[in-house]
Order: sequence, then structure tokens, then C-alpha cells
Amino acid sequence: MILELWMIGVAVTVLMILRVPVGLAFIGPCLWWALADGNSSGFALKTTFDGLNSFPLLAVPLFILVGVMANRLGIADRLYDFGLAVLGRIRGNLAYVNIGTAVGFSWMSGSALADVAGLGKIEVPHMVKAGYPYRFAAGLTASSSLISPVMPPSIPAVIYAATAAVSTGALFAASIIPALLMAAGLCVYVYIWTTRRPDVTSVPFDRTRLRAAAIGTIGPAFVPVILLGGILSGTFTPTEAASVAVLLMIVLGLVYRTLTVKIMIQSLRETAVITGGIGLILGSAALLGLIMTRAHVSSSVAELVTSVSSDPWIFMIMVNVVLLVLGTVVDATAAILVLVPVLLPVAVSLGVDPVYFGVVMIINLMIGLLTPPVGSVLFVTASVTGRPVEEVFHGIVPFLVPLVAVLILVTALPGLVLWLPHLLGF
Amino acid sequence: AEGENPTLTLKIGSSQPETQPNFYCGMKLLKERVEAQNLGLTIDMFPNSQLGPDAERFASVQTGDIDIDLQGGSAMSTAFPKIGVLDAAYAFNDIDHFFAWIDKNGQAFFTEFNTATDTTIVDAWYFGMRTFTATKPIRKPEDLASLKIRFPNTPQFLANAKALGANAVAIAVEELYLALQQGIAQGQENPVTATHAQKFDEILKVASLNNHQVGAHFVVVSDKTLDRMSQPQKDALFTAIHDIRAENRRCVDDETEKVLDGWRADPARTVVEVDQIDRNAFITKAEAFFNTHYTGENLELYKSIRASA
Amino acid sequence: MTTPTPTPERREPAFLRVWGSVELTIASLTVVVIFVSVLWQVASRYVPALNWQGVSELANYSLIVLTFVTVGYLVGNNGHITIQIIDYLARGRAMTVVKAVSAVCTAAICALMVWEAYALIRAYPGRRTAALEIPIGVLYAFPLAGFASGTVRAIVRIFLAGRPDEFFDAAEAR
Ligand code: NA
Ligand code: NA
Repeated sequence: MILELWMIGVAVTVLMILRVPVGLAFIGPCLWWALADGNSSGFALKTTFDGLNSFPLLAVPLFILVGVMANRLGIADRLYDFGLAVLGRIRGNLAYVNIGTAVGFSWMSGSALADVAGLGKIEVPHMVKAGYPYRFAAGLTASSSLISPVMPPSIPAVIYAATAAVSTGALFAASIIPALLMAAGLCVYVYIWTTRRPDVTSVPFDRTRLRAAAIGTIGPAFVPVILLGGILSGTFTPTEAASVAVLLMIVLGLVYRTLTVKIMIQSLRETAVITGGIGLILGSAALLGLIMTRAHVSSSVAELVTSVSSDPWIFMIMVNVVLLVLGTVVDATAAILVLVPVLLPVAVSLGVDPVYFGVVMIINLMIGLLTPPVGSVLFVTASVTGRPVEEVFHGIVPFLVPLVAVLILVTALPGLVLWLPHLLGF
Repeated sequence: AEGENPTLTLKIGSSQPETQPNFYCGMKLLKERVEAQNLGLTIDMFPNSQLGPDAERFASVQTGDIDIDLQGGSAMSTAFPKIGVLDAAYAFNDIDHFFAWIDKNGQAFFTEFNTATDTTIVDAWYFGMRTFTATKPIRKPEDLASLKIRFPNTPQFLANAKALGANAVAIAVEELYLALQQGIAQGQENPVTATHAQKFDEILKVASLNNHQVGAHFVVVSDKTLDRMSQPQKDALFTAIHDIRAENRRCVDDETEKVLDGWRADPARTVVEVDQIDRNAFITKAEAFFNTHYTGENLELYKSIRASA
Repeated sequence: MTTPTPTPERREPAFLRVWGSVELTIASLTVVVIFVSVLWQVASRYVPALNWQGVSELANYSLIVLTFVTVGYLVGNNGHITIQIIDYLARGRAMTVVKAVSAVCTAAICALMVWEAYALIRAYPGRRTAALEIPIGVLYAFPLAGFASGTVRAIVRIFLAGRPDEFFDAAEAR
């Protein structure tokens, strides 16, 4: 049985290297195995189909729609204008505005791609025009976009919570401090960088527009307040909050008169194709997961890990190294879906909190979005700014230092993660 | 004739975690006893919904991808609607009534089930009486009016809510703990042991032992699996399943009493005992509802069960 | 590394473009259904008159339909999540061979899934979903159609392997 699983693993890897879509690369070898093992001829499709039948996963298309609409309705632009108005006199202000806008946008968006696709088009040219090197601007924009999938709402958190059977609300609460630490880490790097670059000065901003810019962000500022308030007061669940967020976007679009039928239709299409791509991976990973469950892979891994060491810290260090390496080549959604059923039971048996484990796992895999060969944020940054991928990655490399530092900090201090969910009573 | 028994590994699935009586006094005993017969059978256990949710697992039993499963009636009612009636609120008075009915009518009923589903119900194991846990005591139907109670989102369970006069809210099981905590719902219904295992009692401090539904798990085997087994293997499996029924019931009763004693001893909790509940009011209300809710064969079945009470 | 180069003209045959817009329209509608159903579930807790047991089932099956109905569209438009590690090693003719092999594998897997969908439709003739009582065969028709579309499109891509890859931009989906 274990030998057959290795064969599945090799076949999946070969198909992925051949650029077969990840979801189909999972399905092909599993389908073959299922038939060879004497299962019924609908086994692979039925398992893929059933894997998608989960209420918490409905937050995935809804939060994607929210991010897409926030972009198209000009809400990202409003946050950017406000940041500029507030930080008008600080040295290197555009860089801090970049991070601040990412934090503001992160409360509405659950994925890094919506952030970098929307903000990258505005921010990178603006920074380059103000005298920042392209590499710095692109690297910062790509790195700060990782705040979105960590800060609630977060699509990886939704997927982790559904797979690990932990509360989405607890995972959301646990992610807030790590997301803020990521922003702080990036700020520290920007501060060090600007002190050594006297040529980069502040971009003056007409202070009279501060008022207008502030008024412009009142609406977007209400979105996280209403969502968090609604969840904490028991008005709706975290999954249901996603639909309320879409409703708020529609209201903001009507108030700002930026919502048109064309924008609505295009937003729905964009959401549909992004969700379709993720959905196939969600379903096919359930198939791969069921085959691993039937082979009791989790207990084999547990034996292997505990034979190395039963110290939870050594386990977490191993998890971090494995995830950082895997994150360079594996899609984040697929990694969560395949690894959680295998690693989480081991983690829990070693006394590791599943919510904390989820936050560490998500930060790890998000860093992988920045790195070649498989890094969607890297590719999208290159694509929206029209420059080569290599150049963007050179710009990203220095920002990996603060991000990995935050990852180490969060891993070493579980209290940073678990304090807020306990305080909020999750 | 060792050679006549094919070597088979049978996958058995269940929604119950390993901490529950239906695992340690059910599935696990079955494994030990069947394997001890040395008939070439190995039982591979998958508790805790590892093979998927109830309805999806039952569909896999039908195609033979899962060999044996523990299933409630509601989850199998999409394939054989009549079995949902066995889950009707107050259809059975208690577990004795349920087992008496199964022993008398089971054979005919399960044959009909087999024709419709290509699966064989061997017997039923007790799961516990489904009962309310909420933020307030529930002694009579009127007490339900002010509470939002979560019922599983299947037609039979939602019909039970209506039959009892409860204000049912739809919440996915994944979000139930949080929803109870944040007050989206003020109660839920489950057997005592399941309520405790899923930690709903961390939030809900009042248990009302109104016992509105006999929770039972049918031990259902795929016909595709039976076709591959020798007669001695089938006999060994069926005998073990029948023998475990009584032991399993004692385990469930013991575990239920253990949890209840813990609750009774806790000053922060209230346990509304069976004799403090206006049972007749609930039964009358439920009967009036189901006598008009069901039609045709379902109504006939419901009436015959009530007549045997 | 390669920079994605935008290619304005689309090379799929006309009937596939029409088919694609039908798939995209169904997928967009399922997003609307998910949004309305989940919001409906919230509303029904405060307005009991709205209580309808089908909402969560409708939303869940919509996500399933959305996923399967976009399979072919994404194969045809290079929109699936893939791992582009081989782009570092294979250039020119070698890359053409890789892309052709990839398209053959994709076509084969999609075709097997069409066969599985057909097997499932036949396996549960009488079964209906719990709340809405939709015949389960109707639901399996969506993966049947989606993977059939994926098969056809992957076969088309075998013959387009020599051309440079178009860059998929979800924001421009049409
Ligand atoms: Na976010
Ligand atoms: Na990467």
C-alpha cells in the first residue's frame, strides 16, 4: 500500500512538472489507483464532488468577490489617497503608504492576488516616478500584498479551518497580530532602507485634500467594523459574514456611484474563473486526501516524526523548513488541503494548538507566493508592471528577511497568536 | 476449510470519534471478534467521519467502496425515504420499544430496504436518546417558543423541529460551536454523550432529558462486499454484529450516566430530569403533526410504529 | 525566466468561444446564487417567514457546479493553476513537445472523468438531494459537461503546442 502511494506521489509530481493543471495532476493518478484497487468506476469524481460539499468553503468565492469588487469600485484608490494625505511629510512616505494601504485593503480582501493586481498598477508606477528604484517598489508591493491573506478575512484561513475542523472565527482572530507584525516588519525594513537612501524624499501632498481623503475612507473603514462586530455579536457566522461583505461592497459602489452593470458582470466573471481554478484543487485534494486516509498515512507520518523527536519545538522547526521549501513549488491551497490531514494529527498529539499551527502554516505558504518557480504574486507583479520576473524577484529578496523574521517570531511565541482569540472568547 | 475463505480487508466507517461508545464498544469489538475467528477477514477502522460525511459514506456503501458503515436513518433516507420515519420525534417511546419493533418487523423492513439500496442492514446499535441542551430549561412544548434551536439540516430532523414546536435554525455542523457561543442559536439536540464529545456542553448549561428521539446506528453492509465473502465469513460477521448490540447498549447507558452525573454535580448546570418533563404534551403534539405530515406508505409505517407503543 | 506576453487575439475555434461564454455565464450565475443563498440564510434567522431549508444545499451545490462548469473554460484559456517549473529547462522544440504531452495527459484525465460522471449518473438512478430533491444525475451532468469541454479543449491544445502561451488574466475573463 505504501509503495503504491509512492507511485501516486511520483506520478502526480511528473504530471505537475509537465504543466498539467494541478487539480488534474492530482486526479489522474488517484483515478488510476482507485480503479486498480477495485473501487467503483465513479469513485474519483464522487470524492472530488463530495470534497466541495462543505458550507465553510462558500466563503472562498464570496471573499474573492469582495476583493475583486473593492478593486473595481475604486476603494483601493481611496485608501491609497488617504495614506498619502496622512503621511505627507515623512521621508520615504510612499513606501509606508504602500504598506498602510495593504493593511487597509487586507480587511476587505482574502487573497494576495486581488491586492497586488489592484494596487500594483497604481503604486509601482507612482513610486518609480517619485524616484524609487523599480526593484524596491515592486518588491515592497509584492511583499505587502501577503498581509491580505493573513489578515481576516483570509481565504487560506477559511480553507484551513474547513480542513482542520477548527473555528474559522478563532483562526481569523489569531491571524490579526501576525498580520500586523508582518506590516511592522516591512516598515522596519523600509525605515532602514530610507535612512541609507537620501535621494528618496517625501512626496508632498496637498494637505487641504486630507479632509476629502479622510471622508473618502469612512465607508471602507466601516466594512471590517461591521464584519467583526457582526461575528462577535452573534448576528452571523464567519462564513455568512462573507455574504454580508459582498452586500457592503454593493452598498459602497452605489453610494460612490462607481457600481455599473458592466463592473458587476465583470466582477462575477473574474470571481467565477478564480474560484473555478481553486475549486478543482479543493475537490481533487479531497480525493488525494481520502486515498492517504485509507492508507493510514497520518499514523505512518506520526511514527516517523516521533521516531525523530517528540519535542513539539523540533517538530515545529521541521514543519517550518518543510513548508518553506514546499512553498517554493507547491500551490498554497493544495498544500493546506494535502498536508493538514497528515500533519495536524501529529501536531495535536505533540500538544501543538491547531489554531496556532494553522497560522504558522499559512504564513509559511504565503511566503512561497513570492518565490520562483511557483509564485503567483511574483508572476502577477511582473505582469501588471510589465517587467521581467527575475527583476521583480531580485526586488523581493531583501523583503524576505523581515517576513521570515516574523515567521520565526510567531513560531517561537504561540502566545502572540493565541492571545487575541482567547481574549475574544473563541 | 481455511482455503474456502477469501482473504479480505473490510473498511468500516462511522461518524463517531474514538472517544465514543460506538467506537470502543462497537466498531472495535467487531474488529477484535471477527479477526479472532481466523477466517481471513481483517477489519480496517475509519471512525470520526474520516471517510466523509454520513450521506456521502452511505452512497459509497452502495457502490462497495466502503464495506460496512454505521448510519442513522435520516442519512439513508435519500436512497430509501421510508427509513427516515424511524427518526420521527417520539415515534418510539424508548430504546426497548425500538429494539422490540426491529426484532418483530426488521426482517421485512430491511428486505425492502435491501431491494432499494443494494445494501444490507444487519442490526441496529444504540446511539443514545436525542435530547435538548440549551440556555434554558425545556419542560413543555411552550418553552421552545423563545429559543432558537439548531437541528441537523435534513428534512426529517427539520420536520421533528416543527412537530415539537421548536424554532429551528440552519447552521452547518462546522460552525455550530461558534454559533452557540456567539448566541446565534440558544440550543441544540443530540444524545448526551455526543453533546459532551463535541463540547457543546461547554456553552449550554441546561440539559432537558425530554428524549424525543431514539438515536440508533444501523450497521449496514454493502451487497458487493457480501458477494465476495464466504458463508462462514458472513455468519461470523453477522453473529458478531448481533452479539455486540447488547454490550454496546450497556456502554452507551454507562457513558450517558457518567456524563449526566458530572452535569448534576456541577452547580453551574441544570439537568431537567425525565419525570420533570411534560412528556405527554410533547407526544400529543408530535403525533398530531406527523399524522398530517406523512402520507401514503410513510404514514402507514408511522401509524404502525405508534400502534406498537 | 519568461515574462508573460499578452496576446490579444484568441486562437480557439469560434464554437468553443461561444461554448466558453455559456460556461462563464452559468459560472457567474452560480456566484450570484451563492451570494443570495448565504445572505438569505442570515436573513431567515431574523425574518422567520424567509425560512427555507433548501438554501444551504442550494449554495453548496452551486459551488460544485461552478467548479466543474469552469473546468473546460480554464483548460482552453490556460487559466488553471499549473506549476511552471519546466519553463526553466525546456526551450523551443523541447517546450513544444512538453506542451503537447501536457495537453495529451490533460485530455486523457478529462476523458476518464467524463466516463466517471457517466458511471455515477447510472449508479444512482433514484437518488435525490435531501432538501431540494434534485435528482443526483442532474448534478453529475455538470462535471460530465465540464470535463467533456476540457477534453475537447485539451485536444485542440495538442495542435496549438507550437504557439507561445497566452497569458490568462482572470480580470479579463469573457
Ligand atoms: Na484579508
Ligand atoms: Na513559490
